[in-house]
Amino acid sequence: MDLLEKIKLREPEYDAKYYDMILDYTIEQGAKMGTAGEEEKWKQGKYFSTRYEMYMYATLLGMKRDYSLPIEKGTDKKSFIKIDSWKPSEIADYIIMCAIAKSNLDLFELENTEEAEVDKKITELKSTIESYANGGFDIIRSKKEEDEAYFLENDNSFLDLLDEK
Amino acid sequence: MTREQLLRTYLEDEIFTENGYLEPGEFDSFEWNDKRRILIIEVLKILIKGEIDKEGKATTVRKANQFISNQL
Amino acid sequence: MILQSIDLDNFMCYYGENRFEFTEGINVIIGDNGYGKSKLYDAIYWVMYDQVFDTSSKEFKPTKQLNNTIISDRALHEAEDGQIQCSVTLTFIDKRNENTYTLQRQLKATKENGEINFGSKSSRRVTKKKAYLTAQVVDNNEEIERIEKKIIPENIRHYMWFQGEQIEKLIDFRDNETLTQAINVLSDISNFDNISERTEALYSQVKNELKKKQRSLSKDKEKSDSLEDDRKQLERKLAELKGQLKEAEENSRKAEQKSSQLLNKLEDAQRIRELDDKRKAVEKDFNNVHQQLNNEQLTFHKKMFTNSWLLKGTEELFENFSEQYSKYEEDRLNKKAEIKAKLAVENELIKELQTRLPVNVPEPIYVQQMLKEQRCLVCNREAKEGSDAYKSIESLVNRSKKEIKELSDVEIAKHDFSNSFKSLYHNGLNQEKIISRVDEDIHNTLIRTQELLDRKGELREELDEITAEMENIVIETSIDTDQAKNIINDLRAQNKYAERFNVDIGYLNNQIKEVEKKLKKLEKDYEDLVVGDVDKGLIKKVDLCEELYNAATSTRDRVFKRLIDTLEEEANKHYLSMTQDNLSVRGIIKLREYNGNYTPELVDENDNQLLQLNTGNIILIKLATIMAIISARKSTRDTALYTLISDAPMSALGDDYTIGFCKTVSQTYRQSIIMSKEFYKNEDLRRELLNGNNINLGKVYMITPNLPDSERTNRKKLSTNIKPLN
Repeated sequence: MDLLEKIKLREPEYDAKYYDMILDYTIEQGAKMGTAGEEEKWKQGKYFSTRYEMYMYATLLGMKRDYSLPIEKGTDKKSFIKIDSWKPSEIADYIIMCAIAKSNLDLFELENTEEAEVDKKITELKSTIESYANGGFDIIRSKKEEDEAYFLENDNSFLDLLDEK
Repeated sequence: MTREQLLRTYLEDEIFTENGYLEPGEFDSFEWNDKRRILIIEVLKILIKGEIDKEGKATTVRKANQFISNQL
Repeated sequence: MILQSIDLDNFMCYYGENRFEFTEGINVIIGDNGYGKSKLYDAIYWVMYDQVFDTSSKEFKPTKQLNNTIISDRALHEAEDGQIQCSVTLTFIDKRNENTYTLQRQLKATKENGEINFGSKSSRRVTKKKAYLTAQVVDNNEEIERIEKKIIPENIRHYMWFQGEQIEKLIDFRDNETLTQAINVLSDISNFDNISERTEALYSQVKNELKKKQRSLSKDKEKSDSLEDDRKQLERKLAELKGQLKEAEENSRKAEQKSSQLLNKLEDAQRIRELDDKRKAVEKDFNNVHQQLNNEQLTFHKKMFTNSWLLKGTEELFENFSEQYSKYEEDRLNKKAEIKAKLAVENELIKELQTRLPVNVPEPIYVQQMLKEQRCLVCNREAKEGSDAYKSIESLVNRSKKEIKELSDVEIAKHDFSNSFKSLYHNGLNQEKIISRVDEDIHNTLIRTQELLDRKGELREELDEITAEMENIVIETSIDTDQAKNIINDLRAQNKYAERFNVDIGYLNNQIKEVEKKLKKLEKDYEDLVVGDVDKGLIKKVDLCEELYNAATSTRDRVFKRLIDTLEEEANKHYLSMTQDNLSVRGIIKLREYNGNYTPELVDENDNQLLQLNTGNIILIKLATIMAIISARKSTRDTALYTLISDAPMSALGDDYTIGFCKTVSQTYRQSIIMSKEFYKNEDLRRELLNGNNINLGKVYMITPNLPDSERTNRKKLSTNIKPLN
């Protein structure tokens, strides 16, 4: 199987304590064909259509700010769906690319490692993504605590957050 | 309108000349009992008759459907 | 039938016994406001339908709700204790056989010690008198219905018996129902509608058969079953949405209608009407912008992902990866070079081996023999196992197995991840291009949103201005401030409803479009699964039914359009006749289509709409159209069979058009009865009417209240003078 395909089979996890926060900003409840009007939900302040969207956001936020926060051992974790199902796939691929960049892997060397070792590296990549996502969530959480209204009053709040240093 | 007049009103539509069922202008003198038995027109007659006789919609549609199946 | 006479006994202002006689031609009842003209119209209505017109709510109400207003106040006041009676008798004559019919309605009241008790029910009595015989009471309900139908059939009643105030509503073709109703009166098109429905049902049934067949031929039954489930779900949703849409449209229509009704209750309806039209146009714009704004806001957050806004500022990460990737490529190249060099050496050796002796010389069996004997058969020397000679011979066996190796035969590394890395690199490259424009993209989006917001604000202001102006007019023209307040409040409420419903409609339409799009895609996916040929006959069947459906729909539209044309032509005939003696610009009536509805307009020879029409013109157009609806009916000669009865139709016409109107009416209808105040004040006009050539004149009456001016408000002394003028 293709390396990329293998990587995309993984299901990244996140710290369970962020579950509620994610729900606060996400429309999707696992429903299939659109429940109550999206317009309504958007008005309720939901910003993301699905949980993995927010995860992608958090990951990129963390990577941009270079804030990696590995999830501590023993922490309660949750996961949702494999990377393969993330849309748009270009963004998902981009994230994987960034993770590879951050991990300073020697790509050629990777080609010469044993199958089992390759799988280990893929797991490491998954951890890298998780750590940056964790960092991203932490940034969001701290912003929320710092300024309750930040995400409520500003339609572009998440966009602006990306710009902050 | 009589059944025949009703039929002629429909036959005036260009679909019938475009697809070669009728010659242009023929609709004006077309008789209800025309010998040619052109399929699409026969089906139309069933629908018209159903309407004039105040037959139920479902019944008429079923008849028309059956008729086409038998002819094709 | 012709209305021969009407007898009013103690009916409203008609104290005592009163009588009007009518003939063929145009009969005119002349009187100032409040003199009793409308009461005459009410009297006829009361006999026929047991309803009375309530002037405060401006609508007809059943007798028992207004029973205290029917009996003449003077009669009630002057009567001694006992029973007081009021009645109205209409006498009709059927010119074909000279049969006479009378319809009489009675209402009683009792007076006891000065206290009056009104009966809640009126009673009606119908008689029929054949020529030369005595009158007989008719008590058979079916026969009574037949008589009523001969007097005026229900489906054309509204266009033959109407009050001036109803003219606007009768021909308000912005209301789709009014239009369809009018067209159906002109000529019944329900047959065409029904047949269209049948072709639709047939087509739909046949399409389902095809789908079923396709499903059975599907190469992936599970997938096509799941698609079918999805399709059913979507169709249910679509039906639900369409139902909601219909409801919202109905509600919107009702709210607009109510709004219209409220407006009609005012005297200066025309001015308000114009403002209302303006308001509607602005409101439409407003809803449009509102919808666009919603869309922008909805898609805004989506753009984070679809337009890669999320990735802004991550160029550095891509650069890092690029470095990794180029190092990777370099490493690979190096490795390739290494291997190539190694191969080159090996291949050289093989080539050398092969040039010494061609392959298969000597043949393998001989070589095997040599090995067995441990002896070279060529030079006949010993070749013991393990010796160099032996090894040389051995290598001959293996040489054919040794092939020239190419670079592509050799593995460069354990795994080949080049495709993945390349894909990631190219993806990054693409994104990089997009990222460079993200800031601009965001900026443009925000600008657009702001523009929409600004526009929305502007339109909102405009709407408020117009509403305020309308409210001012309401206040100016109302009788008292309470009434004004009530009407304004009601109007505001209705407009708010209408606004809300229109927003719903916009939203629902969008949703419906979405679902229809999804359904289309589903159809395609479905078809893609079909393998093998569906029975050709079935396909032909579907095609045939589609053709039929299209033919039915376009025929119905064609018939409808022709009726509109007929109506237009006939209306112009009347319009021309009515404006013949007027030298001012006239124009032609055109029934213009807007979004499936038709509105009567006035246009010049070049089909340009004539604006700046005065109220008179507008009412004239509407009257012409009302007349056309009846006079153009092919199947019957309604204008010869039934009487036009109209209360104050000319009040908005203005003196110029009044005579023209009367002339045309007298020529179009065998009998007409018109109540008018125009001829009361204007003596010249009255003279023109009485002496007019080309006017088929019936009886003309002048009515005045029989009260000294000082006692005008004292209804207890009110009776009415009826003076025939010819």
